[in-house]
Amino acid sequence: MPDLSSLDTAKNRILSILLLCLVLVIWQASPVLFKIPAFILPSAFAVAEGLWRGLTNGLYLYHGAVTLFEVLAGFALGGSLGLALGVAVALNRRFAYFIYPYIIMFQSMPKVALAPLFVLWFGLGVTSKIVTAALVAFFPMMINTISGLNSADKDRIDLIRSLGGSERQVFTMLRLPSALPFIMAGLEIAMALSLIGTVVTEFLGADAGLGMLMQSMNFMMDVAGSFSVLIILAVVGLILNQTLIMIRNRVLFWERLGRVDPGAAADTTIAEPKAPQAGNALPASQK
Amino acid sequence: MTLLKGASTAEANPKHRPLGSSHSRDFIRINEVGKLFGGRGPVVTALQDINLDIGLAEFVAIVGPSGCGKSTLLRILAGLIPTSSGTVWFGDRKLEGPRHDIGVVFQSPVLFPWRTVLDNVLIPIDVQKLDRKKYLSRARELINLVGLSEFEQRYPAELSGGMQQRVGIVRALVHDPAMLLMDEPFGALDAMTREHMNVELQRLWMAQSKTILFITHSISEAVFLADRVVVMTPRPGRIAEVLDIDLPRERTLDMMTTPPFGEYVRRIRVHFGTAGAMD
Repeated sequence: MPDLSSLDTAKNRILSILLLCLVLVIWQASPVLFKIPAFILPSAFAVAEGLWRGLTNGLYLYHGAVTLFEVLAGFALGGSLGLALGVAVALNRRFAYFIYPYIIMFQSMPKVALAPLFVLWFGLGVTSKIVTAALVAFFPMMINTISGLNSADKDRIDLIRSLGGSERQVFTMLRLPSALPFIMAGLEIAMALSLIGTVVTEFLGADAGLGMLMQSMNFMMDVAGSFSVLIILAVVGLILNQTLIMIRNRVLFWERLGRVDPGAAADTTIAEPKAPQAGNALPASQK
Repeated sequence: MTLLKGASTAEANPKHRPLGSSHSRDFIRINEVGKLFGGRGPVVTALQDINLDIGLAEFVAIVGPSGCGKSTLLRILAGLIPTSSGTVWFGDRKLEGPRHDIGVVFQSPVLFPWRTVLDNVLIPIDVQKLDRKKYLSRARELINLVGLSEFEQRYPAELSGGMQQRVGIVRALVHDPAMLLMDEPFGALDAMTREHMNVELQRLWMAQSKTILFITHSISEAVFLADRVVVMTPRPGRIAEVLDIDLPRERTLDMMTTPPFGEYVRRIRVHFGTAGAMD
């Protein structure tokens, strides 16, 4: 996303809220204005009503919890397997040689196309959703882990080796932290795909979950209800994504650092030729 | 002053201080070293018939254009790649891989962005599993020596290029190696910063009594810093001349405009013709 923070002024915030109001008004008025029947596009008010009803009677909470569990379980399973296999491929060339053809074959296949089979194999319960979510989360995690571990700077590797460091030390001190930006990006993709995989599998056949709820509302022509579930799904996706971004900013703290004020200490400062005693104050030129 | 004590440099005899050209040139012996590259494709001779002895606490600069094999020679000495022929001796031991008593400074600072300045300087201590507590005060003194004390807890991204390179240099010194290998360490810096860094490096070297092999393609930098300048020419990479630089220490930037300095520069430049073979 481009950096829009400079536009975030009080005036623009008010304008932004006004824009939202305008969109809602047009939406609310559109059945009348454009003669769109309510079963195609329900009015904003009807959607809000459906949302309120679903939230207060606990229906959305229950199905939302089921979906969230499936997403997180699939994400954890697929993500950790992707990480583990990615490490194995990056570390062992022989293993990589034998496993790569399968990876490339699976890579080019739309993974969600397996969802109908998983429903057939694992039934209408949570298992088929978790397996689909895990499968779609697995690949971006593995691919990103491999490229991350291979992204370590050559000079940095040479530095550790020149000091007599082992390959194990190169891995723990360098390759792993170098891979973290890739792994964090992989987690974000994996999370988004897990949610998609879960909902799609719920569409295909489920006894609970937001996808199943939406499907049954569609069959009953409760389009306002469908829209309200869509909003719940968007909020769930947003919360999951924002959580990961918060974690990423914590883990990759160094990516957000900028140059300190050069006035603090001039770059051209030349150190005193004699070393100060240990525990001594700074050289006079730097006080 | 603990900095002057060469703990691992058992042979650091004050008599061997780098004054004039009276070195005992037997600390490192590079004997008939050659290096070929290219497995399946055409073979490239990167180095041929390299003979060079380096004395303890001597400052030797290798100057030459790109492709003359100077970086290859440095990587061999660092133990990162093997020779194709010939041997390198450290004292009476053959060089057979990375040694624990060598510090390498690369063209880029090669800092780890997730480590603070202090933790970056301590990388050799961590890699060699030495006692962090024992080397902490030494690391701090070295950081102070290059004027970065108040940046100890900062991260590399918060530092300028010149500051980062200073961190890279004192890191190469923290485990008290007998020898520093420096591969065009100031090549990426602007001219002003570069001159300041040259002055600082000379001071560091005079205070630390390390043997330094310094690679550069700046002739004046080589003359300013070194006791001896080794001139290398490309295709195949070989030594064209070894020149003693008899300029008094401590050298100053003003000396770079004096006739003797200019004479050394001119003599070296002869090897590279006038067509600007140096880049």
